[in-house]
Amino acid sequence: MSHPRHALDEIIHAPVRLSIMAMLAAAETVEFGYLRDTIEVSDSLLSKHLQTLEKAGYVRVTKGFVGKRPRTWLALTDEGRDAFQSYMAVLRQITQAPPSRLDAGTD
Amino acid sequence: MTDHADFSAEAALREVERAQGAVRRAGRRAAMFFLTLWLISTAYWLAALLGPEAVRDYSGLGLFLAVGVVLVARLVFRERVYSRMTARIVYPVTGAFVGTSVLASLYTTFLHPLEPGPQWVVPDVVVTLVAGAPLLYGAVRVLRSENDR
Repeated sequence: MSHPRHALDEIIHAPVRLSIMAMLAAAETVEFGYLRDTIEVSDSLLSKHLQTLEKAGYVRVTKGFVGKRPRTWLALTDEGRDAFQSYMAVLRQITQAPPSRLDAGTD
Repeated sequence: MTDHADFSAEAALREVERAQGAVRRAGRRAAMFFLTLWLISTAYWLAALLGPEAVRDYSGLGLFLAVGVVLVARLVFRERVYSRMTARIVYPVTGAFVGTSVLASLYTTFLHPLEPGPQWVVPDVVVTLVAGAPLLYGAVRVLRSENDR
């Protein structure tokens, strides 16, 4: 029997990317600066992780203006929302399962 | 091994809760905004319909609608995160609110007498409640959605 952690989506299961996905899953859209300030990362690090998520088809990036200020808006794609739900299901499986059952799996 | 091998499932769940809490707080701000506007709307229409003549003379629909629309526009353009429910209902609620406000103003202009008797109290209260109903509905929907998560 395989340990459920092997089912964790490696693209999502990284601290910064998980924070991004979690916020976007709860929101319709999030502005880049708000996301950066809330998860406390630099512009460049956030951009790097967003590129990974965008490349995976999980995040949609929209650029626009509010007044004269350029803004970047982020949202989950349907695929990203499905991936996050699956990821959360695996996480709950890991945290709720009795340790003996999980330990019985082979790595 | 990956670079996040020490990122436990428990830590991941905690981070999800923390990140989603920020979005929930933004949703509650939107709900509080709707509630505030609802209170202003209710006070306005009660004063305009049932208040003394001096108060009624002061009330102007144009000013009220302008303030409401400007406040909603500020919410829309200043918030940097939208909870899913807020994004879904902000425009329908705003549109419905403008509609009920226009209906209330038509009632005031064409049906409501300048010197209303006691028989006008019930219709006036109903019109007041209807005028603010979209805002109250929006606030309740957003709050319920944020609390359910």
